[in-house]
Amino acid sequence: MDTNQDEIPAREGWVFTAAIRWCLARLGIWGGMTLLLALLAGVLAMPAAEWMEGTVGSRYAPGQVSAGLDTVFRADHGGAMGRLSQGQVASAVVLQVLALLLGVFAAGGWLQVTLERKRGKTLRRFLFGGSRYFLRYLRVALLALAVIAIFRWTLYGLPWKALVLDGMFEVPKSDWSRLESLDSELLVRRLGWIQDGSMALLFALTMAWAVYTRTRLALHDSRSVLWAGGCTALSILRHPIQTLRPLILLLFAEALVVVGICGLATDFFDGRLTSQPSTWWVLALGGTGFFALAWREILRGARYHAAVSVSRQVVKPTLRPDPWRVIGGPGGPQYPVDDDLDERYGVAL
Amino acid sequence: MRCSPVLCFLLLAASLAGRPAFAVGSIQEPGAADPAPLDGRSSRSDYVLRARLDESKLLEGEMELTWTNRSGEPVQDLWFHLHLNAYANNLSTHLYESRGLLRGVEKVSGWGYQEVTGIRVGGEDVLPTLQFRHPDEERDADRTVISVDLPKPVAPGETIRVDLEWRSQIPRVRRRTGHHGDFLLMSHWFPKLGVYEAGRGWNCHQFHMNTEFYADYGTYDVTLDLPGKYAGLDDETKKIVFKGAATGELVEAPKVSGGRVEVRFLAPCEEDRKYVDPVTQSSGTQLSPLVHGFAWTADPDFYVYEKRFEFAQWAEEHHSEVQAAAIAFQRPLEEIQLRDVDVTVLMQPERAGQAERHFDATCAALFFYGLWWGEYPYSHITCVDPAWGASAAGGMEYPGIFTAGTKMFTEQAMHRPEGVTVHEAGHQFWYGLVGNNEYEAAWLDEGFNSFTDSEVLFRHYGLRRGATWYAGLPEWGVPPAPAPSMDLFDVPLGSYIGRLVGKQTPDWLRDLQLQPLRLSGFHKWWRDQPRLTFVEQYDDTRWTDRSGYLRSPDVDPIDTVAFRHLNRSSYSTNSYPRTAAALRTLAGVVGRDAFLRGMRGYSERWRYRHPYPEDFYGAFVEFSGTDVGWYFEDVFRGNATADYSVRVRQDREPKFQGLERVDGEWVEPNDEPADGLDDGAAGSTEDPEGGARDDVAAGDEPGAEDAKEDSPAQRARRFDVVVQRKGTLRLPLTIAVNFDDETSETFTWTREAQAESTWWRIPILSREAAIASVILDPDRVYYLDGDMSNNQWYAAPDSLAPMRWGERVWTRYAHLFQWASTLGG
Repeated sequence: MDTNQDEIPAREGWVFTAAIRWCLARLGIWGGMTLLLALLAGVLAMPAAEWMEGTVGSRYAPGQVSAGLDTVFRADHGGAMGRLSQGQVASAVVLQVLALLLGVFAAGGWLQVTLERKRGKTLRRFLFGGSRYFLRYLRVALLALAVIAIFRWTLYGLPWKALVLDGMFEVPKSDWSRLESLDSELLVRRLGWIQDGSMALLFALTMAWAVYTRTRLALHDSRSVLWAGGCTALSILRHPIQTLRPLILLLFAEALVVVGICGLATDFFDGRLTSQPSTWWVLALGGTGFFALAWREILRGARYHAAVSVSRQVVKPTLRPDPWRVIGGPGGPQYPVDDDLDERYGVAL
Repeated sequence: MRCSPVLCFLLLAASLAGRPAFAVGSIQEPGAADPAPLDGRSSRSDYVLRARLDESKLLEGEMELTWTNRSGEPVQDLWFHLHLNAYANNLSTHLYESRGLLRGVEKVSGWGYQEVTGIRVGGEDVLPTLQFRHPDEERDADRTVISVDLPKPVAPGETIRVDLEWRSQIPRVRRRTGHHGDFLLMSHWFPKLGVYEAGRGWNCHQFHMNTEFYADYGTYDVTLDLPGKYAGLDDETKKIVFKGAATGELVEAPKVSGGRVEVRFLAPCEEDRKYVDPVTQSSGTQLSPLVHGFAWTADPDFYVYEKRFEFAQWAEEHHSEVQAAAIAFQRPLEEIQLRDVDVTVLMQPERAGQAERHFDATCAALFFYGLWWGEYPYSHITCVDPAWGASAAGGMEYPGIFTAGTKMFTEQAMHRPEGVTVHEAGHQFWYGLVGNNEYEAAWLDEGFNSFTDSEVLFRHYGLRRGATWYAGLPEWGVPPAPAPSMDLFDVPLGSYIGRLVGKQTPDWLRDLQLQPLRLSGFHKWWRDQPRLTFVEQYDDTRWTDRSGYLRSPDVDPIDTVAFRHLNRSSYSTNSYPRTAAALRTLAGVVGRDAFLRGMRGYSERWRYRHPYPEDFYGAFVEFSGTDVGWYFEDVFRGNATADYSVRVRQDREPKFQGLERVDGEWVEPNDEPADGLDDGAAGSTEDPEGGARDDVAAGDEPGAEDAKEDSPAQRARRFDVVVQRKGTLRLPLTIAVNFDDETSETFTWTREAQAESTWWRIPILSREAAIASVILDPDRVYYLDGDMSNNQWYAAPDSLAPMRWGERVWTRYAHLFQWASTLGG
């Protein structure tokens, strides 16, 4: 499909690798996002470290509780640990919302940087995009949560209970929570896997749909989240492989690095920390966690880059003039533009 | 060391209560003279039972009971338990005490009952005299105890025969006994005679929430007539087999006819009735094994796994344990070896892969418990895995048969099902062979068993590894910090609509809950990234007993009647982990060998008999050869607790300041250093460190410039090490003081000294070396210490731990927040 829009250089079938490469070069963005998330986590980590410092003091042999907190430690400090946890949970709720809003902002930023094919001033364009699309993408996030909530209700609420438990397995209503009237644990487990697996799949699909919806909103500079969401759903249904493949591959890339490589590294470093307590192993563990965090941030950008690449092929252009043919995208730049003649505008020219 | 007069008397009385020297094997004939002594603790009940169960789970049975009165007193009436009536209504003592909840589930259906339809003593009908009894509290709705008057008193040593018919509706299993579908766990299923105690009368309590067992030892001959589905074809032998098991063993092959199957069990089996229990042999009596209950199970789905416990194999694997036991008991190895036992494991098909693990855990119990407390004297034992939906039948013990409890995908390192299997198999010893009154002193079996199972689990399986479950699948490790709650995003839409619409709101609409971030198992795993962010967690089962004890350390004494505890938490804590922690501490007080001797002596003396708590105290003191009456008084009969702590200050001796007496006059000290001061004695120059400091780390003084004369480094160190005790429990305390020159000193704070003061300043002479660490109870034998974090002091603080746990918490939250941010974009 000819979208009459500028192409992002990407080889057919390798959208996701091109997206990763492109994002890797935007160190300022993913590095900044990683640092911001790290700071949020630091808000909770610092009190935990302080508590541990005050608790351990000179009461434990060096290295005694470095690798793990033994049964005695947890019993002696159970009350204090409980209070610490309560405080962490309360703070984490607020920080989690902040993180969610940060994600809303980051989506706009990444799309601005991706669509406005300009070199330099990356961070400024990111900030500009983040603020430009913030409210629209916040609505997308809320809509996505609403969709997920409906999926969840369907899979764990009355529809599942009435159709599957009652309709197929004749489980009485009084037993819906325990499922003791089913024949075996295996059957219960399989039903659970179907539920959980379906929910995970629908959640992932919703997230993919949200990525494309945001991309469409940016591409068309439209404001109707519902309309864009509906159109995006149709696009995904019409081109499921083309639209979902890069996101699935990016998910695999995330799992490969975070679960596979970083998971193994964590296991290794943790083992060494247990056998040879040392600051270096702690730093190695922290470094692994930071690397995984950075990688996930890179892949966030890559998802939008890939979505833009795909959307330009599957989304019809608007009847209006392409808003991205103006420097800075729709509305023009809201940041100083260099007069550097060497700058090339991938979209604008 | 003091012992209260009452306790001393009880200990003396208990030590005089020797075991009866008589052989038991065959059923005593009614009217015949009983050769056994009338010790009041070993009346004999032999049952012949015939029962028929139909498809609606209605059971009709007949009983021939032969009872020998060894109470030493004439008995006027007979009292029976009708346990199943606990599940007849919600106002039975059992359900009233549990507030209608049975193992977490409200009992609203599946009721059962038990009804005596006929009873004759010596051929004379005594049914008209039947009355319901409420010995513990008036509760009319409770029908769990009955009594009938005897036509004439049963004289001491006399044997009578009772014929009884009854009918029961088997309840849906919610605790201990009942059915679920075709699965049957039939315990407490027949009217069971109480225990007549000399001077106390019938001990036949209502069926309380927390208690269940107390019955005379004897034999059982049981014939069951069941629906034919409980017979199956053995795949290998192609013979008809019974899909179930019971106390004892099948006498003959199942008889199948007319869609029914009939099986007959003997408990103990014929082989066991001829076997002389070597534990009783070593103590001069010749007893054959007996049992004090009969339970059975059946399920057409059972997967049957059979294997033999072989002592030699286990002794080879745990050679050092065998040696240690032989040394402790001062007996040759051949005297403590155990008989081989046939083990049957009945598994649910989906968990058949765990059969070998159940077998191994059962063997671990047979081996270690047998080694320490005396042989399992029966030839057979059965481990049962309850069916799905019948987990309430799990974790229960009956003679020769017990139920475990597991789920799919568990690993051995989790100790599941190993933990529950060892525990329930271990009850064969504590409750099975030593028949304490579980209604009144549950701690004598549950606590002793908890103590032992923790020891067994640690020795055979090592530390328990923590896991987190996602979608029913385990992931090793635990989160270092909790995830934030997702409630914030919940929208109870149905509730809102309901308020608007009113009562007409349909149920399906009321059910409408929008909970977008209540994650499914797989998704939660992705959010948590356990392999990246979790920490390993291991538990020493011996110390988890202490953790349990600390939940409720002093609400009730351990030695409290089980159904008189303040609440279930107090009962659970006292009967299980607190007793275990108290026993482990007792081992620390008297030493492991003496402890083993004391426990073994008690176990042997009271095998096949009914001990009271004071019998335990007396036997332990006698056989361990220690005078620990004070410990039982403080810890078991009282609520004494202890929390030891240590405080350390060390610094250099101060330099001399002020006037000194020279040649009869007070003068300013000379600037010249005094003779000998440079060898480390008190200096006379300025001490830059000033006064004393708390918790000063060794070697951190600025006086490292040793070259400078009279520098702080040249003055000796002075120490202020104070040990304190909170609580009234006084344990002889060992204190190890380690110096940085690799030397150490050991001190003991005796019980007597602790009686004088709750603190003690340890007399450590000034010296050049600094204290590197002070450790109270360095062998860590006092599991009752309420706070062990203050039991040691180290000069070098642990700087790695804060960094490590800060890192883990940071990584955890960083990735949780990253996940949350992806929801936004």
